[in-house]
Amino acid sequence: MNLLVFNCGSSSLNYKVFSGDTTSTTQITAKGKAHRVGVKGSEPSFIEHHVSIQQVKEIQPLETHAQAAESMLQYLRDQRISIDAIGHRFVHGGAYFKESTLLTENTLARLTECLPLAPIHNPNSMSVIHTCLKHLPGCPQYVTFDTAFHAALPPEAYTYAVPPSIRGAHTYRRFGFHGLSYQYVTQAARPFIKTPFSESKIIACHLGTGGSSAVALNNGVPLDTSMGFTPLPGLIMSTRTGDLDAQIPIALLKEGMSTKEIETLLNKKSGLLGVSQFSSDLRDILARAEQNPNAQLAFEMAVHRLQKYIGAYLVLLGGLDALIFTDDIGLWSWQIRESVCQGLGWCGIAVDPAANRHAPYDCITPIEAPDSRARVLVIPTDEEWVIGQEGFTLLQEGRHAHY
Amino acid sequence: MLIIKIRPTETTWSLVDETAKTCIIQNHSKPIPTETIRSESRILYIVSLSLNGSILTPGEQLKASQNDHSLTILRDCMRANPRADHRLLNETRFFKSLPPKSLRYALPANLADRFVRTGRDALTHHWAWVKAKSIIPGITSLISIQLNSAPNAVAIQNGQPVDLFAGFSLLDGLPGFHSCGEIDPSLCLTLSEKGEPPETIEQLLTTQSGLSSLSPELTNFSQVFEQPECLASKFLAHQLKKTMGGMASALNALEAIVFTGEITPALTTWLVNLLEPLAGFGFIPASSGASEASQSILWLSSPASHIHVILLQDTLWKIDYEMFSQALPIQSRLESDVLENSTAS
Repeated sequence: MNLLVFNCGSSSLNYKVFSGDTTSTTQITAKGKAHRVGVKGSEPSFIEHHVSIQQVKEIQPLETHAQAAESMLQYLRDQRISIDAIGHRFVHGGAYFKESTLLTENTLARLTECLPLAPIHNPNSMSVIHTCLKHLPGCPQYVTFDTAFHAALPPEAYTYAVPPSIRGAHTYRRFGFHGLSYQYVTQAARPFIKTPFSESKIIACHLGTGGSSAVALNNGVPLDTSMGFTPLPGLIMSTRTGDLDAQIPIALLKEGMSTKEIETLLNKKSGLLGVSQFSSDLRDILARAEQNPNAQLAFEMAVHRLQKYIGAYLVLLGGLDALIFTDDIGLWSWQIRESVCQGLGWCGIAVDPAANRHAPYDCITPIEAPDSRARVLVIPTDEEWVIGQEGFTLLQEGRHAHY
Repeated sequence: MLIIKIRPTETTWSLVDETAKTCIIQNHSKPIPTETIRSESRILYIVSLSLNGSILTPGEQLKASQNDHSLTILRDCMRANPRADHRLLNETRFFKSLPPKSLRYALPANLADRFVRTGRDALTHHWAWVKAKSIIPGITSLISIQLNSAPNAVAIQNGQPVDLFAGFSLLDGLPGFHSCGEIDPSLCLTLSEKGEPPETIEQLLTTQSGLSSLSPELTNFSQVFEQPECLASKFLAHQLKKTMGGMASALNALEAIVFTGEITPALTTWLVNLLEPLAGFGFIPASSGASEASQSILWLSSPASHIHVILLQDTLWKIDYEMFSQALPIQSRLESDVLENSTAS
């Protein structure tokens, strides 16, 4: 069986073709990535394809994710790679979807209702689904959800202290994000932890170039996570504020700003960009931290917020077996990892400076100091692998959505 | 002791007997009789520049400190009773040492100064430090958690706050009985798009939310501790555990935790359960759950515990009374104010 997996980012589209019949025997037959989808600028859009040892780069205009998906499907046809099923990533499944599901007319209608919940990601995923329906009619499709991983959060973690009428009318609860990534890295950490997974205490930090979050897992089940109803709250991100007093948007509304203007302000102009006043890229900020006080403050604030979240989760869990760093910044920024762990001496967590500094980006690397009370692991994530594994299981079970 | 609280909106005064056992007059807002001023050997002025729960900007503070109202009260009292020991405590100064990384939200520069986290209950947190230091002399840091109907927390190192769990307003930090505490602020935009005016959203989150909205059967804050199985109780416990851990990271230490609130059997039992996860970090509970050192101090940790935890009774007039020793003699303070003002002008 050839299973095609699509993973939509805000301006990228990844694909992988997994071949095999069971979760343990799959291998990657083809993979690729569309870059700068829908981005206007001097750099052109392009797609990279990798099939066996062959690598192809196609420079072409990519105004939409649907266009990128069409081009990828055509490339796979040209390579005579048949597709038996297609899996998609949907960032926000709202209150409807608590697990992966096969695509039916009914699920398609529910997915349409979820589009506004993640306006940067969900519509892109939906456009790729429609492209596949058009070009591969009859091919089974299924959808996985980042929010599904957090469905087991306890009520005291997912509930907001607002009136029940508001919670009910707007399905206002903490959903949590980056679930596929967390599913991968927490499974990958298993061999490195002495405690059985079902009894383990894990904190994972998904630190991306766009969004970042943290999660606490007790006995393999999420206990809390930093993002909320939307991906805005929690850690300080490249252009998002992270945690913010709700009185602030109220004050700005009173002053006459529109909801769109405030949404843009909090999601696109704040975070590292807002504090540093020159860049949303942590690499730029680190490069100028010694000369530029705003860059230094942006870095300090990001580290401080992450330290507090890790500390908060440590007490919630009552201990720790492993602290995991993943995704782009989690993998390459030894400075973030070092600075964050310097503030965790109170609970006996420490990194080995050399191991941390030289941790490679492409394999699981333990970086804790010999006397650290918990393992500290750098783990590259693989969301497509999770989507693929979900697909093999789902197609065997023929599972449909549970509302 | 005569205690005069001077705030931008009102001035109140209390009279505590010299043995500190009773508060004869509490939070009176009528003018102080001259005889009362003359009869007291100690007069404490507590000046707070907070307005409606928020702290004034440095510029506003300077303006307020030059306010004739405060100085008039001080001078009138000193003239009426020049022999008394007059002392001044500026509540607002307690939070002055907080670093920008703790105070700021990750907003663009043009909004960063307008919207910052502000400390609440400064006097109580300061007192918690002073009191804990007198009971556990070796500590260099602690987490002070105020358990009133608008709970908040401060991380204190060597007497100076280094971080806080409170926001620009009551719509951040720990949940209050009627205010929401930390939420996803996107809700405000969702409600606004549905046509709700900002005033209605503010009202909803400030007065109709919080712990009472999670468990409508509760009629007051203390019932949260009497019904540990209700959602409000579990929610507050969850948030407090996160607060303790977050503050410990801010301090990079977990030496002591001081709760202030009304000492009741229900609260004591509730805190014993709350502290269970700290066992993994060296906390050993008191053998019988809690042991009473005095009517106003309850030990929740055993003497062998690596983390000291106490519950202090927060009777406000007693806190004021005990903070007299921390206040500066007024004569030197007035001189320095005059100097400050002349420098500013």
